[in-house]
Amino acid sequence: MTILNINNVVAGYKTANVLQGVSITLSESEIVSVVGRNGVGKSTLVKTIIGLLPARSGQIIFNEKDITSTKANNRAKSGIGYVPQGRGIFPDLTVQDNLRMGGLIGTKQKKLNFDSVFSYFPILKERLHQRGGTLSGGQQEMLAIARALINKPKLLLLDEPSDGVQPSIVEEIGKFLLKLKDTGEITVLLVEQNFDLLQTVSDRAYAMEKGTVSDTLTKEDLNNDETLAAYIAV
Amino acid sequence: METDALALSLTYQFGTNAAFLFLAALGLIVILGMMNIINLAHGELMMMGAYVATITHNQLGLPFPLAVIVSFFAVAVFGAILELLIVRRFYGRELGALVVTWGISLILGQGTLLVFGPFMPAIKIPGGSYSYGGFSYSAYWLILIAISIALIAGLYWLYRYTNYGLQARATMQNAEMAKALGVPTNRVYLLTFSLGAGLAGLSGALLAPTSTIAPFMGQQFVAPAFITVVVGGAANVISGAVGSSVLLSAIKTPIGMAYGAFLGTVALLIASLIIIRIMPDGISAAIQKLMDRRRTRKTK
Repeated sequence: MTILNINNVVAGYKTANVLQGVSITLSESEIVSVVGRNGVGKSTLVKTIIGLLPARSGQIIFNEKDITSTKANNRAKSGIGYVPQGRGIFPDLTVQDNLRMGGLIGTKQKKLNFDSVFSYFPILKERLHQRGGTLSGGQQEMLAIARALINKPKLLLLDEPSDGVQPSIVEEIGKFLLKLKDTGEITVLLVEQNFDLLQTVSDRAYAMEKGTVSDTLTKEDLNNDETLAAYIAV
Repeated sequence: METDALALSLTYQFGTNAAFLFLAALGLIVILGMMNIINLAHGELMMMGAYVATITHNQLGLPFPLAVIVSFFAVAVFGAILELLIVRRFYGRELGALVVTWGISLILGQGTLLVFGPFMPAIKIPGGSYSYGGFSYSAYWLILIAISIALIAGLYWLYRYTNYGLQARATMQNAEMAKALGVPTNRVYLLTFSLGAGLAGLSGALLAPTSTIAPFMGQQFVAPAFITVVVGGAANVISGAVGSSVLLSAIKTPIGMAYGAFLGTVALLIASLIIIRIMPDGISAAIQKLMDRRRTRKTK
């Protein structure tokens, strides 16, 4: 079943359009990546899906509902988790309060299921009362992912989770994403430049160029370093 | 006996000075400390609170505690209107907000002068006074000290334990991320500014019996309010404001008692300069750094 359908979306900043008619489709419990050089509009695409940037034309259908003109906070409530590039941790809130922020998305839950995220990222349990800003880059990335997951979204948007994160933790995030996929309860849209992570977790990928989707890549294409390099490297 | 009385009086003076600084800063703690808006209309919001209390108490005959509560809500509603119409256009533009709130303060001050004239009949100080060992103590100031402590506890609870408090702190740190986590950030800004205005009104009403009720009475509170909030710092606005009002009062009180109120104020200003020079981000940032070091060490 299709969980996200983006149809010919145009979006951008001020007078410039960054996305010039992007169309992608995600089915339930897939991990789909978006690859491309810097500045082709990958992060802009993710921001447009969560609603921090308005779509100037085109359509975004999530879970069979048209959310093109829905506000970001209501999109989050309808089941989209967002982990931005740079992680977006609240630096002066404790790890626990950062997680509580994720939990507040859904008003139904009374007790937060902290244990479910600690089972993936046990380090967070040890740091529960530390300020978010005092964590290392990798720990912040794990916190941002946990914060997005604690409310059980149907779709997780991950924007460059490997950015500024040490290799051992990138590997850990890869293993975690595979475990998450095994649950079959969540679809992931991953924007990434790191070969290892892309090849470990992606089912398929879209290649972007100049604000449009230029190509689609199968798992075999992705596993071929040379093919992948042609889409990412400058 | 003599030293007992002196110590008691010193403690009382210390309490009233700290309570005055805290009450003067109360609304600004939220608006400047949390929202980072340099609100030059702070004094006029306090003046509005004092006027609402004076009118409802002296002319409509409302009991004073009730008049104080009415002042809180009246100025909070006014603050909400101000946010919706004007202030929300200036978030993230500190200088713009500074100029526009200065404009608002001029309109409010002059407008009050036009409508109500240069003076209002004062509110009689509620409660009597006690004397002990040659010093006298006003019951009302003792109540104000108690109310200040209750307000500190209330604000701490609101921002530490409620969902609104958590969402407000998160929104002020990263509004875009908060929105992506389901927070209606516009409403959080509206509520926070309105609360800050209401608190300014509340303390204006509370301090009204101790002051002359006049259109420009707010000016006397502006300097101590800004000093208290800036010395306290933004890392944790409530503990910062408590820390700075206690510390500044601890400097002002003994010097004021020994050499007179004027030199006490001079000492307070010099102390503020020194504190900001040593801790540019305020007392609360210094505390935070210390706590970070302790907690990080514990988990390593």
